[in-house]
Amino acid sequence: MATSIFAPTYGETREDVSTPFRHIDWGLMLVTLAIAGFGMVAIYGVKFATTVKAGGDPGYLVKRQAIALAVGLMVMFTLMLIDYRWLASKAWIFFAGSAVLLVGLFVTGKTKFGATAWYRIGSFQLQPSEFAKVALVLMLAAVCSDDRGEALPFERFVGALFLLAIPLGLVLLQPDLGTGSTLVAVTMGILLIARARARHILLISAMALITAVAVVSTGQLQTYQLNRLVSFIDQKETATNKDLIQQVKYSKQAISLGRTTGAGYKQGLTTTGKYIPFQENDFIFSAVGEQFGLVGAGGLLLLYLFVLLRLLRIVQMARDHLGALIAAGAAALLAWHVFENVGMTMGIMPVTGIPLPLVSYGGSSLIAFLAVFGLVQNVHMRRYHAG
Amino acid sequence: MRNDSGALRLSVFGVVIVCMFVAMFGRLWFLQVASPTTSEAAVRQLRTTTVLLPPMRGRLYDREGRILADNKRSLTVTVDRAQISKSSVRSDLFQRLAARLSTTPEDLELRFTSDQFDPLLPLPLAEGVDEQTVVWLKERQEDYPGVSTEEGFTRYYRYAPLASHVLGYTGRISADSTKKSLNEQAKELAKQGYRLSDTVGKEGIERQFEAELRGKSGYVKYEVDAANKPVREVERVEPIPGNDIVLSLDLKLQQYAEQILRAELFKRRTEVTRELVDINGNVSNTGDIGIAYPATAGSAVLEDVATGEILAMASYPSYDNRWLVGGIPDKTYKQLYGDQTLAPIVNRAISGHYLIGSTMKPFTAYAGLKTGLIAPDTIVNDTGIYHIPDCTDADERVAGCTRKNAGGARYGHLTVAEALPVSSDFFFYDLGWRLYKETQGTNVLQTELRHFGFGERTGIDLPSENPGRIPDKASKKALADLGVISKQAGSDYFGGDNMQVAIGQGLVDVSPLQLTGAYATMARDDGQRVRPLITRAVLPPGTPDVTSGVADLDHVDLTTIRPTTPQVVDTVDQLPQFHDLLVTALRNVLSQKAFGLDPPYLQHFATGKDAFANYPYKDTYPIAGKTGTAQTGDGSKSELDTSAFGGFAGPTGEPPKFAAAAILEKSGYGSEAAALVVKCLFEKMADPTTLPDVNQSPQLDRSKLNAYPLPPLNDDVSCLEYKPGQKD
Repeated sequence: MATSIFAPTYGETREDVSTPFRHIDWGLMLVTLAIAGFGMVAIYGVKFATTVKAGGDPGYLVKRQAIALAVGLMVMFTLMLIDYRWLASKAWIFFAGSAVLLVGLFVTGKTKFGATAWYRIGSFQLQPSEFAKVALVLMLAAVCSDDRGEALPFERFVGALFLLAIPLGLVLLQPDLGTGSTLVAVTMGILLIARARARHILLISAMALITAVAVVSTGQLQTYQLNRLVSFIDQKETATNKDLIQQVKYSKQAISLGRTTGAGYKQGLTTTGKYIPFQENDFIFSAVGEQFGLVGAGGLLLLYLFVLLRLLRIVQMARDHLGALIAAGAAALLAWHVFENVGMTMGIMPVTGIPLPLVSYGGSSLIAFLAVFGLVQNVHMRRYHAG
Repeated sequence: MRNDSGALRLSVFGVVIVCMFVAMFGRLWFLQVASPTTSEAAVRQLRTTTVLLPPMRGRLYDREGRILADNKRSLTVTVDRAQISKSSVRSDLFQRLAARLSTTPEDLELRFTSDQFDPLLPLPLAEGVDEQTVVWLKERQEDYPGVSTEEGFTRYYRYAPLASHVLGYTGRISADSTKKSLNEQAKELAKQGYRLSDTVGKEGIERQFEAELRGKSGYVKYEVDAANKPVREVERVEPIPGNDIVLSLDLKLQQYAEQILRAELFKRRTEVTRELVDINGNVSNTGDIGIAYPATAGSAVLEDVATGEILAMASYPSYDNRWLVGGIPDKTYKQLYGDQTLAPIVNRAISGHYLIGSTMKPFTAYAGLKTGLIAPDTIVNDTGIYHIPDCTDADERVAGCTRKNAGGARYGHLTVAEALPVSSDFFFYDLGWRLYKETQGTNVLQTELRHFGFGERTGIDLPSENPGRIPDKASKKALADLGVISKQAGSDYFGGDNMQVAIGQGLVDVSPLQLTGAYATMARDDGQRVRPLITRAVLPPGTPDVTSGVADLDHVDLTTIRPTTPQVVDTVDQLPQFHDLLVTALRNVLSQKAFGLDPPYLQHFATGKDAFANYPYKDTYPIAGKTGTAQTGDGSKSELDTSAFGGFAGPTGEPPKFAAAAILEKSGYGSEAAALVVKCLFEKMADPTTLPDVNQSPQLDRSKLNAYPLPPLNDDVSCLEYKPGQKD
């Protein structure tokens, strides 16, 4: 079958099939961009006071983030142009590519905050694990999709787990537990929608739990990882986890200080100071909470909820199982990211180094999430093509 | 998604997501609405850390205002112990740091293993580091993880090593691992306003007056970020400096005393035991001839008779208290503390345990006169060999019933005033025996000697004072229980014991300070014993300097802090009655006359004749005193004898002004060593203008810290010259 990747001609059409760009989910698109824009506002608000005081350019981080946004939008539109089915058919290329990048880290990567997770490209740093998440979404969706509507066979269930094991193993070696948890979340989301048998899911969850307990109890974790877990459960301050406890304590205080309407943009006592490490990236939500209060932080959460419901709608509306799985993977990824990140700033989740999607400072994450939204838009745009 | 299973699964997905958001909204609502409003001020308070500001320690002055102990602002480079627990990391760090800190990797490693430093606190690597090094380290913080700088004051002894024993030194509070847990110790210290890392006085004045010198810590409260780095200052309470202390020492005299003591010991090492020929040509000593005196150690004290103020207090071997302030190499530390014989850290003047030999005799004489056992004109026929009457006591059966005069001499008919100059043992054996046997065992001798300050602490304002011992039945038993003497010897107190006490031998234990104090009391015609003092006044901080190294004490009222009236601690009640007799006798000890003229062929010169022959101030500044030679061990090795001298002097026609004593270990006869040290001190008191100046010390060369051997001498030793001949 001769097909053009830009204008698929196969299958029946209900509407104008040659112009998928007419069917962009504008609600999703606008809210996505709104969140990203809000992120830059928040980053500026965090850095303003300290950089001005230090005589620096308060817009420095925002400018870098804007470059990433531009790159991310290009990636998103490129991914929207190409039919997701063609992309899915080539998923193994992205998947293998991301795995190679992860392996390469151990050769040339840059170690920061205890993990070897970055490539240095000029003045930018590339975090390949962010792209591994996107590749995993596409890869698992491709492997698990089955338009016959049958339950996922056990062989493919196991195959999916093996595929997960590749990037998961590599990020755990860095070691980066946070990213590992997002990969697991993506897999769970896709397996759920892929009609994996409930008992398989339960079995594998139990195995994961046992493994986790074994890893912790046999001392396989790095001290700082254990600290994060232990200090989440037991908030008593010790010499080794002092900074960590302090970080979460300040973060909670900051959010609490925001009350209903917030301390005001660029005004927060805590989040404009130097109290919280990683304020502009992993802990950006505490700045939102302090500076914009319940209105701002709650509003942001509502935007995320809107996006997630929109993604679930796309799961439902997708023309084929593949599209549904892509949207499901995206939803799982986004939901887990938001929950883990926001939860950690409020002290209800352990501290891991994963960013708040679209908002946290960090180019790799921003570009990766825009790529994910590009894929989802792709599914939405092409929902009228028969599967 | 066209089947029901798909819809169900999608709803599960949706429910999970909604649950997550419910949790997040709930938590957000709890934090921002439901939880009580914390004021920004309260939050700021929570985010502070308090840094203690160490107070400036009080300064120490000599009586002329010379600043003996001062403070320098100092920077200490420390390293977090957690960062260097791995030996490879540690040795790498030490390798890279050592040169920059002017030390060696080996010495840094020694610090790491040493128990001198608090294991809970960052390990100090180098004290007194300059600003440039600190800046250099700050710029390279990433290359030296865990390395940081602490600011504080270090003690600075401007004239060190002079008076090191008196001043003592400061050091970090050392955790006592044998006692309670470190946390408990830290809590106890906190009650007294200390932290385990604080510096305190460890010896001498620094220790004795810790409470005055310390001052009160201040603090700065900083707002901190999550890494506990200060963001801004919230509150500052300035520290209150400690009080200054004016010592009674005169540093010029102190320097001279230290020099002359050391010089005499060094000179004595070049001399050998030899035959003693008495006035009639008889060789009067026994034992080996031609043996060099080891002259290992000694001390000398000079005291103001009227006030009890100590003007000089020297102890040898000495040390440099700067060694202990800046951190001391382990080798030097072991030399100071580890060597039991030399023990340079010990201030022998107050902590020494000595037999004082015949320097005890004037006090025994007083006891005899007071009890009426002898009168000024009582004559005892010294036959050279004393036969113990009624020789039945248990110990006498062991030691024999006869005692010979030292050197086997025989002095003939003697009054007490003649017995002292020739130092007749016979006379005092007899008196000692009678003071026990003819007083119904009431320990009269002990009682009277204690009035002079023997056998109890003088109460000087210095730590580690030796209380000494005048043996009696109780103390003998205690010694026997400790195993120092045999059970049999400790079973009772005998007449023979009292004979030994009478001549300063046996189980007598006296410190040089006690000996000085006893002679100071003897010098007073009112019989009062005053407490010796090493300090004159405690001053509030802020006395300005007149020149470098000297504070302006001329415009400070020393009397407001402590009354200048001397503190009388005891009275020798009948001393006024016998004062002239005893002083005359003690002057005669140094005279050039012969005594024991009956019969004439038994005449002897006074023991101090040769030592004081060239004393230039005989008429204007006469000295009275007594020599003493105490045997150690079995007494067969005369080169190991303790050389002692005690005495007093003052301008003619006035009451004696100063008392002094010297005790030199393993230096032979009192007249040949200790007497010369005291003579030299009084020479300078007679004409203080001849005292050499004192200068502030040059920077200590830390690469050459060594407790011994000490550098060669440059001292003026001319006053130590004498014409040898006499004994005891």
